[in-house]
Amino acid sequence: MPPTPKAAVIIGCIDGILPASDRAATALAVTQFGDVVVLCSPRGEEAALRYGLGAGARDVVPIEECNALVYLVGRGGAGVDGDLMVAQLATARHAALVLDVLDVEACADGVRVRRDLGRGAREELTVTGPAVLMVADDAPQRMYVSRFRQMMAAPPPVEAAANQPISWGPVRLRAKTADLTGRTAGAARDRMFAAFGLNDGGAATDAHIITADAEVCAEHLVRYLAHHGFVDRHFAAADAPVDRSEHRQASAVMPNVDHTLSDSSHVRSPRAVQGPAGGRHRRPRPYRLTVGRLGKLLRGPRPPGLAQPPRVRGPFPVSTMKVSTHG
Amino acid sequence: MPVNEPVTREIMGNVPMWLAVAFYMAALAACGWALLALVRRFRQHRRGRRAAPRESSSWVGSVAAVLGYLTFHRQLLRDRFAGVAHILLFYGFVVLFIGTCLVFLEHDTPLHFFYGRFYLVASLVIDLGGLAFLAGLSMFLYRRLFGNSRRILRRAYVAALLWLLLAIGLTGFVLEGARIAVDRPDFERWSVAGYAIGLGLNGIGIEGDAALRLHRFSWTVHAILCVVFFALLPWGFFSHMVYGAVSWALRTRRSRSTLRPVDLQAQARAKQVPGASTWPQLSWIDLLQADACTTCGRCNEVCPAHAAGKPLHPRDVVLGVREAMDSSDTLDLQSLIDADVLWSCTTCGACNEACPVGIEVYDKIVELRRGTVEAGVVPTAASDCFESSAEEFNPFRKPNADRMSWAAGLNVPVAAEGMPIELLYWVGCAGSFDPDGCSVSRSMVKILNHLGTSYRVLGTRERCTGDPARRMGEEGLFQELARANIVTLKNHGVQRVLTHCPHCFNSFRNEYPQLDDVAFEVEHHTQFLARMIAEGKLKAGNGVEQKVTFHDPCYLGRGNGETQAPRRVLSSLPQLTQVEMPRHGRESFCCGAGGGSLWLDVRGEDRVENIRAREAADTGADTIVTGCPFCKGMLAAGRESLDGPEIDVRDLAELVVQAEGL
Repeated sequence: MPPTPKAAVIIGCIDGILPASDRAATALAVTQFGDVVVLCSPRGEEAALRYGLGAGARDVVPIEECNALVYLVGRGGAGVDGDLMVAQLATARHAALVLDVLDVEACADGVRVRRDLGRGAREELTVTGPAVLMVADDAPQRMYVSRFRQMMAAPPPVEAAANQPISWGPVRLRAKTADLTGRTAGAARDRMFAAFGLNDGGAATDAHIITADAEVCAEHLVRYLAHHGFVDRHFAAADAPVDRSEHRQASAVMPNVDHTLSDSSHVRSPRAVQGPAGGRHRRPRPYRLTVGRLGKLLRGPRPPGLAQPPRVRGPFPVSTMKVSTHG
Repeated sequence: MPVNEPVTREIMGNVPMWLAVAFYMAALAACGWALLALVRRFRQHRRGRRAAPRESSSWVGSVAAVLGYLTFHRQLLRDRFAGVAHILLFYGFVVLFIGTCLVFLEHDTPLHFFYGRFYLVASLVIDLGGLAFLAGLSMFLYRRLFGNSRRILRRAYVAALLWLLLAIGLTGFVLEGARIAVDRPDFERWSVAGYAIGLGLNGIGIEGDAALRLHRFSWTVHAILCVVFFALLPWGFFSHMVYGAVSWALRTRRSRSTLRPVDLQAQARAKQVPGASTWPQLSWIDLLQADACTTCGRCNEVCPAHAAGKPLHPRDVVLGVREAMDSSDTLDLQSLIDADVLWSCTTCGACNEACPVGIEVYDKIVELRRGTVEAGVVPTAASDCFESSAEEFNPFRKPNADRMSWAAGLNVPVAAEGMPIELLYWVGCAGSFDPDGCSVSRSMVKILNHLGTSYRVLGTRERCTGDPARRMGEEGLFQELARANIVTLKNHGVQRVLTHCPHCFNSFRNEYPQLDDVAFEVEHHTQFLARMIAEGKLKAGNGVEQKVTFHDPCYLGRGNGETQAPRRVLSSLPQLTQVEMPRHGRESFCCGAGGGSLWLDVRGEDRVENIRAREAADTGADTIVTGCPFCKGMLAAGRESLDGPEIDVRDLAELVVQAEGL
């Protein structure tokens, strides 16, 4: 059985031209992960695959059959779906998603990622476990793949036909697609804020905006933080009459998560908060924010093993090694 | 040997038998050792890649070329001092060698001729040869010790070899003088130098037995030094006597700007990667040429990058290859030849032109560049240039859709697809996108329209000829672009191509035929203008009251031998005064743009274009005229560094437009 590839590059052309981000993604994968690299092209473009194989990628496989720990995606590989595609991939693989990646370095813990925060700011992250890294167009081109190498690389036939829709099973997006497809430019943070409707101060049509008193807002904030793993879920739902039996079934400890493609039972996403006129009305959980609990929140999550077993949650949390601001 | 003939001498009469036998055995061993070393070295050369097909003549022609070169020393006489010194040294050596062979034949064969008038004449000639030998050596040693020539390789082993040769020559005269000093026969006056030394020895009391002892001692020293010389023949700069002759015999007849053909398909079949990272990846001719290097430094002297203080020293590139051959097969050449050295080269070909043993220096540099490109390590500017050429078909990172922007307001006939074209005006990338080049294109269109010439341009279907890509080592991209252009030209049935860019001119004329059969003729716009003036179609009625100096583009003058057509055009323009820069014609100094240097720009102490602009300004000219859009742009940039009055930079076509009143 062939070894699980460490890294996969998802590469593609736009208007027949391989974007700089795809070239950079290929170079990063080959230079950091050696020959344990496979290549995927959603649309099976030969020019893109020749480039990747010429750069030193080991093999070409369809995305559905690819089982890598790290995915590097360029703008061409993401195609017209843009950030939606990588978001879907990250959700399906239970992987951390990092956008606007400028540099990647393989390390013992996982991968060290340097990403663009916009306006000259940079951030360095260490991602343990599966990761989907969307490479920025500004990422430096570390390697040049000559025409000779591209001509000599003969891409093997890819089983998945080109232009077939990507089907990764039931995936509930946690971000609005309407904001993502039209706004793939800009820093990752801006795009994230836009997806959650936090940029424009609350549009009337933005159903994700919660207008309530401070206590309710705090409850939502704590729930949001807990959902993304910044705080322990235990603190967020201590008094809530919620059946947690489904959570006790999760036994894998991060980061050793079985990130199989089909199992998405523990994928979580916030439910849409809609008005009383339509849809299911959802009330926030009755959580009382006390001084004691606030103190515990500020101290941080309890280490795993001391209380209840930590729940399986995706995406994996990222630890911020250093935040550097330039310019 | 009979001794009753009065006019002759006893050969090795004063040398004991054991010493003579020892000498012969040592000489044989040394020659055998040298021969083995040469054979071993030639075998090492053959480990290199197969050389590209060369346009050399038959072996008879090659031998004749070598003999002609050695007889007249034309290439060497470009440096008059060194050329004269080498002529003296060379002919002196040849005469002494022939003399030694005559003595050997007389002593060790049944032949008997070394007596009487023959002996007298031979004695005179051999002595004069010896004097010439010493004179040449003295000139070289003087320059090394007291001269200030910067191109001399001041290494101890080079000086030691010169001193060895000097010692051989001096001991030869001493032993002759000692022989004559024994009894000083009158006929020995024909040995002018030896007789004088004999007189001098007699004058200080050395005669009879003392002279015999001195003769035996100096003979022994002379013999030992000769044996050492034979043994060292395959090494150091002595080896140029062998490899230099072979290199000259095999030198290519290609134009200076033309690179060797590269068969990528054959390399792919042989599982080879283009370019060279290690010495066995170079061709065997490259390896042989590396051993032919005399370390004279003429390439350094003429190199524009070296003059600007960039890291490139062409001689060091060649010696680096030689050093690599003495090391491991897998030694990365970049450990000996830095990347900045490679990327400093402007591929002007001046080094190839100057080399006295026919070494193709810049071809090696391009080959090493190919190696770095295949390894994926190239400067960002170079990769940007490649990507732009591949995607937008120009290296300037401009959209291909803007290729015809230069023609705004002009009546420029663009060929429809498949339309037969008799005369294609090839605008080129510089002519389409670079402001300095665009003005040349506009001038040419005005001239062509004025002449009523039937011509077409390809418009946005024109692609870069691939010259920058090829010079920067992307051979695959060059061939891709070239083949596409060839197909386009064939589809249009193009008969003649007119271009104002010497790089495009060189590509069409010399490098495209390496890839495919091409049926079109190629003409540079300076040649076209000269022809139109000669045929009376251009009258140049308006005076051009300027003092101009013509800068010969490297790819036109030195590269393709065209230096007169632009000057004929200038001479036909009324009221124009023409002055020449010291380095003009085939010895023109580069503008600094070639070889991708327009994009790569390795920093040096000075800038190539500034040096050339100063040289032009020193002529007192108020206009620099050139025939290349790259040169025009670079010289325009270079004139900004000048302190004196403003000097204009114009293309020849622009002057003609002015003269014609268009």
